[in-house]
Amino acid sequence: MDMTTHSTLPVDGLSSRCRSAAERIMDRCNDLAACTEDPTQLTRRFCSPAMVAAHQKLRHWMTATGMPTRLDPLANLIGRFDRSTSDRPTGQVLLVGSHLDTVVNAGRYDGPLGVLIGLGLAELLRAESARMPFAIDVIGFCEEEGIRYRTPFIGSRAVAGNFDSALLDRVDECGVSMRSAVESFRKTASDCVDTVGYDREKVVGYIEPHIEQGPVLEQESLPVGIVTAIAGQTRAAVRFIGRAGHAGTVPMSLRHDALAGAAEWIMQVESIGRRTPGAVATVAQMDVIPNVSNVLPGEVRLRIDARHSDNSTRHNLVSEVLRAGKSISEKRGLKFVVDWQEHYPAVQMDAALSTRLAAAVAESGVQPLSLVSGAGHDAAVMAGRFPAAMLFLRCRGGLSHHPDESVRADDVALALEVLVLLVYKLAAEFAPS
Amino acid sequence: MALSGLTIDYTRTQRELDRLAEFSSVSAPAVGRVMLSDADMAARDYLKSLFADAGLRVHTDPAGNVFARWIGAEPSLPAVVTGSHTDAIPYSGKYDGTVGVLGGLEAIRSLQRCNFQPRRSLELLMFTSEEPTRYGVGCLGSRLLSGSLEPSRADALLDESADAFSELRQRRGFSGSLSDVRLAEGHYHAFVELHTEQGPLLERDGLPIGIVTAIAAPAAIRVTYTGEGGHAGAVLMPDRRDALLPAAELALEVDRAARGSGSLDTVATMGLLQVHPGAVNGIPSRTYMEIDVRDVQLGRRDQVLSHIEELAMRIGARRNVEASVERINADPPAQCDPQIAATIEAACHDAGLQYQRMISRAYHDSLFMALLCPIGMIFIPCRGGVSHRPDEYSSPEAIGAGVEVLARTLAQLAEIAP
Repeated sequence: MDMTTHSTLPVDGLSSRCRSAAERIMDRCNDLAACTEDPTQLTRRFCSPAMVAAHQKLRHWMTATGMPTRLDPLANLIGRFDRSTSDRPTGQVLLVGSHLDTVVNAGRYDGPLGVLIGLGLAELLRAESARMPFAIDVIGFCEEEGIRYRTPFIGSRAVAGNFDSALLDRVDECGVSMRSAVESFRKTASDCVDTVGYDREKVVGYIEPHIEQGPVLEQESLPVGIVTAIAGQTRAAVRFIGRAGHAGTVPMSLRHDALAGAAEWIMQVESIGRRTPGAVATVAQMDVIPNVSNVLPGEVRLRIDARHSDNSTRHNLVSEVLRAGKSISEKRGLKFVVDWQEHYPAVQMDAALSTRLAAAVAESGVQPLSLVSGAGHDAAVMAGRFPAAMLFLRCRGGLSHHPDESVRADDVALALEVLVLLVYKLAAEFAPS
Repeated sequence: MALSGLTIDYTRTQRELDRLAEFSSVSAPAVGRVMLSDADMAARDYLKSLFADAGLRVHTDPAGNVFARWIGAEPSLPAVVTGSHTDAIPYSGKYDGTVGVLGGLEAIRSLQRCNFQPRRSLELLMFTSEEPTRYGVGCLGSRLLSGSLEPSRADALLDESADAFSELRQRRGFSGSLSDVRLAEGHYHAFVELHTEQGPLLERDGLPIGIVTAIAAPAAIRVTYTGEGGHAGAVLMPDRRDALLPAAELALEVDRAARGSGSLDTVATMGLLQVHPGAVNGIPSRTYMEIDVRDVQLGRRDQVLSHIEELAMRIGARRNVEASVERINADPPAQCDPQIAATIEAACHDAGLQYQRMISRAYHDSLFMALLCPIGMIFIPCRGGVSHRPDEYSSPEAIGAGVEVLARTLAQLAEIAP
C-alpha cells in the first residue's frame, strides 16, 4: 500500500510500523502456543495451568507497554492503555480483544490473535505519543470455546453483565466446579488488581479482530472484512439408549444397538443441514458406552451444533433434527433423550461502529467487504450491552480449530493499520471542532 | 462305557475353586489374575501341587502352558486331553476357565478312584492365557500350540508397561524358544473342554448340559477415516470433509451386512468409535472404529467381512476422506468333531442327564486346538448367562454334572487298557 496518498493523515510511515508490529504479533502467537496442556498439541482450556502460563506472558508484555493489568471475577485479563487528554478526562474507554482459550488440538490464531492485535495497537499508539479522548482496554477473555464446562462465552458473558452465576456450580469432566477452578486460577495472579464491570455509558465500543475461519476472504483475495452479523446457534446434547451385550452372543434380531441408532441420526442431521440453504449442522462430539470392540454399544451420547443467520430457520431445523432422533429411536427400540439445549440468537453488529470500521478499511486501500460470521464470537455477547464490531482476517484455506491454522503477517499488519485509523477516526469525533 | 462306582466329589472341586479365587490381584468377590502376574504365579504353584497330588506328571513349555499327564497303558499313543485356562480379567469371577481346569482334574481323579485304566494317556492342559488382557491377543497359549501365531511375533508382544512377552516369560522361569511350543498334528488324539456357557440358553431351558457343535470365530478390523477439521460454524456443508459422516454410514452398513447374510449365526458389531478432536464446534477430522464380525461358517463370515471392508473404502472415497482398513485378526471358526459330540451325548445318557446341542458364540482355546486334533466342548449353565463379572456363578451340582459327563467322555476316548 502506498501511504503517500494519505499524507494528510497523521499516519506517515504507519504501514512500515504496522509491518514490524505484525512480525512481533506473529512471534507472540507462537509464544502463546507454547502454553499448552498437552506438549504434543495446542490445548488451552479455561483456567488450566496452560492458561496461567499464557496470562503470565501476556501480563509481562502488557506491563512492558505501560499498561496496568487487572483480572476480573471470572479471570478475564484486562490491560489498560491510557493516554487520555489530561485537560478533558472523560472516563471513556474503547475495548479491543478476543479470547485466550482454545479447542483441543487447536491452531494458534483463533482468539489469541485478536488479543495480541489489541496489544499491538496499544504499542503503536504509545509510540505515536498521541493523546486520546478515551482509554483503550485490551481484553483477553478467559473462555469462548465452551470446551471445559460445555458452555461457551463465559468471559464475554461476565463482561457484558449477563453471566448466570448458577453456571459456577457446573463441573468439568473431572468433577471440578467452575467456582473452584476460577478461585484456584485467581490465586495464581495475586499481583493482579481486581476489576469491576463497565459502565455502559462509558464504553465507546468493542472491537474484535479475529480470523475468518471460513474461505470467503481468501476467495475474494482480501486481507480483511467487516462482520455485519453473527449467525445464531443452537447446541444440544442428546442420548440414544439401548442395551449393551456381548458382540458374539446377542443375535442381530435381538439387538438394541445404540450406535446404529446414533449413526442413522447423524446421517439425518447431515441431510437436514444440507437441504436448508445457509445452514450448518454438525455432530462433532460422540461418546460410545462402553466403547469396547467386542461389546454391543448400550448408550451413545452426542452433541449437535446448528447455525443460521435467521433465527426461525434455525429453530425449525433443530426441531426437525430432534423429531428425527425420536422416530429413529422408536423404530429401533431405543430411548431418545434430549439432555439440554442452548440457544444463541443471531446478532447484528453495531451499524455506526461497523460503518466507521468499513471506512477505515477503505482508507487503508482495501475494498470493504461485509460478511456474516458462521462462527459465534465474544462480539455477539458484547453486542448485547455495548456497540460491537468485528474485523475478520483472512486465514489459509478457511482452516481453523486445527494445528495448520495459518495467517499472513501482511494481513495482520493491514488489520493493525485499520485499527489505528479507526481509533483516530473515533478520537476525532470526540475532539471539539 | 460301564464305569462302576463313578462318583464326582464336587464339594472338593468347589473348595478348590474357592481357594483358587483367593489368588487374585483384586478384592473378593471379584477376581483378577492377569497372565504371569504375581497372583497368576501363586495360583500356578497351587494348581501344580494339586496335579502332583493326583499323581500326574507335570511339565511346562516355554510359553507357560502347563501339562499334567496320567500315563496310559500305551504311552506312545496320542493322548486324550482336557483343559482350559485360569487367567482372569480384572474384576471378573471365579468360574470362567477355572471350571475346565479344576473340573478336568476332578474328572481324572474320579476315573482313578474307580480304578479305570486308560489305554491312551489322559492329559490335563492349562493354557498360559486365554484372556487378551495383558498383550491384546486372546488364546496366546493355544495359538502357539497350534502354530496360529508366529513365535517371533508372540515374543515381541508388549504389555502396557512395554514389558515384552519374551522378557516376562524368561523372568517367570519359562525359558527356551517359543518355536518349540508348537505341537505336531496328530500329537493328540482328542481335546475336550468343559466350560460355562456364558449365555442364558441352558438356564432358560432347564438343561444341565450343552454339547457344542461349532465355535463361532471372530474377525476384527480397524477402520480410520481422515478428513479435514474446521470450524463447525464457519465451514459450509458442501465444503466439508467430515470424518464422522462416513463412520456413521459404515456403522449402518455393518448392521445391514450382518442382517443380510441369510443366517441368524452371523453377527457384526461396531463396538468402538472414537471421534477426533471431539469438540462440539470442531468438524470431526478423524474417526477410528473397530468392527467385530462372527459366524460359525468361515465362508459366510469372510464374505460379510470383505463386504464391510470394501464398503469402508468405497464410502471413504465417495466422501473424499482418506480411508484405511486393517484386519486385526480373522480366525477360522471351528467345527466340533461329530464323533466326539456323539461320545459326549452317550456320556449324558449314561449319566442320566438331559442335554441340547448348541453353538458357542464366544470363543475358547478349543478354537485353536481344533487345528491340532478333533475337539469337543461341554457347556454347563451359568446364572443369568453372565460372565466376566464378580457375580458369575455356576452351582457345585451343575459343575459336578459337567465333570461327570467329561469323565465319561474322556474314559470312552482314552479306551480301557486291554
